[in-house]
Amino acid sequence: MIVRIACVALLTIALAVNASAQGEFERRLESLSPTDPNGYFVLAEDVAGQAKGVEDIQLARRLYVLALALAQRSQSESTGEAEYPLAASACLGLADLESTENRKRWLRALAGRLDERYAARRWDAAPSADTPNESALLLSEAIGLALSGDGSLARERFDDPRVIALLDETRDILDRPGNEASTSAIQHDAQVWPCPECGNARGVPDRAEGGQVRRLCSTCRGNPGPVISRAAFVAYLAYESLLLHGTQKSWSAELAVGRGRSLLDPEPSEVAPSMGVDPTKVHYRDGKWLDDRELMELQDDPG
Amino acid sequence: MTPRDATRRISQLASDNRVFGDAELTQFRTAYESFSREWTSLSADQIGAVHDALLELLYRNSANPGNAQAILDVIGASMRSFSNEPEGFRAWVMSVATMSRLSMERNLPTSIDSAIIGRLTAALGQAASGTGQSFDDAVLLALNESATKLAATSESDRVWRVWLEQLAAVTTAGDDTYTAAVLDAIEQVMLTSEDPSQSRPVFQSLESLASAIKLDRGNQVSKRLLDWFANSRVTTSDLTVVMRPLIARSRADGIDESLIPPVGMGEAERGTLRSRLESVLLGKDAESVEAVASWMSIADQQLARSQPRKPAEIVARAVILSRLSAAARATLWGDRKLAESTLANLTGDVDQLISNSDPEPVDYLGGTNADEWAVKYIDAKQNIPIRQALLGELARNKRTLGPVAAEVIVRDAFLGTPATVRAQAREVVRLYADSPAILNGILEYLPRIPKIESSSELIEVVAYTRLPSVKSPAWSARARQACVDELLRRLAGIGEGQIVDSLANLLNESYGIRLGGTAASSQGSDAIDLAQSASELSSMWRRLAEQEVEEMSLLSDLEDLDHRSVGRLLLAEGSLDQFAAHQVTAVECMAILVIAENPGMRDEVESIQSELAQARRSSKNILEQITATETAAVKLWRLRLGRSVS
Repeated sequence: MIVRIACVALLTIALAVNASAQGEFERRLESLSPTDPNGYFVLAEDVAGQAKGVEDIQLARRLYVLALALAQRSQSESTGEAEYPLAASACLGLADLESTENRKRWLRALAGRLDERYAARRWDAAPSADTPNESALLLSEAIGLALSGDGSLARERFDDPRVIALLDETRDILDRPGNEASTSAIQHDAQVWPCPECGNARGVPDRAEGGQVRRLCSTCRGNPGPVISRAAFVAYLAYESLLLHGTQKSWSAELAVGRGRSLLDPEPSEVAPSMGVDPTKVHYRDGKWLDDRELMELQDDPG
Repeated sequence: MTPRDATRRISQLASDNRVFGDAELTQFRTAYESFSREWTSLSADQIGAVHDALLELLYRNSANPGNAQAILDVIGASMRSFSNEPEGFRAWVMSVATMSRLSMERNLPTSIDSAIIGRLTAALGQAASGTGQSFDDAVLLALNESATKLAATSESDRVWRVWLEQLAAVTTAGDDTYTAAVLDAIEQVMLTSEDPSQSRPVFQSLESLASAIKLDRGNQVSKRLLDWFANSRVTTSDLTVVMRPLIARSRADGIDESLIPPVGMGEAERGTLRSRLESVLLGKDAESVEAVASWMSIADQQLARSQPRKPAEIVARAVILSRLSAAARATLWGDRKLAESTLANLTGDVDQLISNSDPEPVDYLGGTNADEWAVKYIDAKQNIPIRQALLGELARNKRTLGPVAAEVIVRDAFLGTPATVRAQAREVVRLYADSPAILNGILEYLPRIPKIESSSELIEVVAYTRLPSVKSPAWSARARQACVDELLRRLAGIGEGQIVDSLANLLNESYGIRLGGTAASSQGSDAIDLAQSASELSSMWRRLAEQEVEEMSLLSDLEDLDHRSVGRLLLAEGSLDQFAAHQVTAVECMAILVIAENPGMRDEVESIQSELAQARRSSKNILEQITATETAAVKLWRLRLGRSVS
């Protein structure tokens, strides 16, 4: 009973804190002014830092976009240099909110364009960036060995902690809904093979001929390894190619390795439309975002 | 010694029955040098007499190889290196032509014949296979080869006048052969020498060459002139310098100085002038208006079509739109033949590719093909003769291999014993290098094969790659990368993938036309070549825009565009992204050019750009972006062509 009361009390306190925080954000939102882009940025950081769900993320995103747009507008209207760092910082804030790597890269590239301090230099890249590291090679080999039915050699590689770490880090590339190819499937294949009948010898004595001649193993049909569709095989090859920093020579191969995504322009003017934010709606009143005209109408409305 | 005396001396030496010793050789050398350096002052008969004498000398000394070689050394001395001094140049041409004349003789001993061919090959390279001709034809060949050398070094007109003099010695000034040779030489100079606005020697050379031919209605000079107008590698300066003497010497009606290109002529103006020239020189009516209307009608039909959804159909649409741009360029430049043929073949092959989609193959690695063979091979175990016989069977009768057969062959190619079987298996792997099953077999065995040169070499053949030394720590990763990428290319390029790749090749061809047919990369067949073509197109439009832009705001736009382009390329991963990045930059440059040419069209151009930005933003994938960009290009062409006939 006491525990139940304590839980209810804690919940009440948490809700009250939450409500207080929400109230604080509402107050700060309503006090935002387009003459102070930094206010939008600071609030965005605070919202992002305490974000609990999709709505908070969307709010943080909107605030960063408005900070960027207002900083750009302020820059074009004055000669002040102070706005460039703010615009670039807003891009970096947006990058932190993104889940896809190419959008992160896009926003970071944009930050670099706006502020040289964030620009990637050629000498920043690791010297062996073009040569795959040993973990990548081992993981690629592990996949190939699993597919060729060489389970024990594949398992040796999957047992390497570096390989497993890399697999975890990159599993999103392969594990997509509807894909026959997956990291769990390949690890399973490594466990199942070699062929239980022929041990990967491909041939077994033909009992019908008295065992004097060999026939293809009926379990693996002479070709050890899982039977997979072309689409699955291509998906595994594409994954290996990305691990090994491969270069594709055909459009079909480029599409197979996932380079069919839209190419984004590193332009500040692209940010707001691509995020679905109207940069003219900078005033927050009664739960709505308003532009200058709508704010004036609200202020003039006697009701 | 005069050339005439020299010919007499050589004939005397040939008819003299004395032994051909050192004294005779010295006399021969002096006479031949004199003859070859001033041969243009001799008649054809005199030259023929010298050649007969040379043959006589060679036959008489055929039993004495040392003498025969010495004679050939004297004749070939001038061929050893090309000279741009008048006498040395004449001697080079004469020596090449003489050697060619000698190579026609079938009865000379093999050693002498080989020595002749060897000298010709050293002087002319591959063109030596065109020898074994008459003296006159050999001189033309030598002059053609020398034109390439003279053009490459931007030689002065003094050398070119010697070139013309030698040409006139074997042809008749003004006849078709003479004119064709001079036109070829002019083209060489325009395409490979410095620009005449930057080089006085080149300016004078072009003037001298152009003064040697005549421009007349319908003759080969007029046709070649029109081709040059359509070639973006021929600059306005080239055309101006060449046309001045042509126009000045022409007596035909309608050919006057107003046809000479003005300084700083833009692309659109050049197309208009070409159309005028065509009308004056070939008597064609100004069909520009009909040509533009025809293009507009077809373009409007294509622009009105609904957006496709499947990847292959989207790429097909991009190809058609790119071809429209190619036809537009040809229309603007007045190349009606190219425009008409491009429009006539706009969709046929594309539609056929799309409709020929094969069902998804089950046996993408060859299925059970050659399984029977594989069973025999596995059954043979260590029996060498049987294995060799089976490998020989595959080598003699090429067939499709399935994975079972492929993998046993690959295993033996890398790991088999004894060495004879291993070597034979390697040969079979080389023979079947294009088999995906073989490549897959190599990939499967890669972690286990010995890291030796022969393994590396075999992988290079099958995966179409170059690998580092086997001692390099990067070898294993690079070998695997090459095999994975090549196998991915082959397997992704099946079914719809094959259609996409075929369409990408067609796209590359149309980019080649848009580049004026000058892009070597448009002859290539892979995605990297296509990205390179887009890069060249983007550079071309950038150059054209820069030439035309004067207004500050547009200059600023060009600068912004450069920054944007760099940013896009930094974000581009792979050749598909790079193609798209260069493609959109090309269209943006084109937009700036159209505004610079027609400031009144700014609003319309900006509307097209805005539509493009929106379309790219809302595209679901890069293929849709590519098609949206090609659509914008066609719309800009629509504006440009509409303006060109207004």
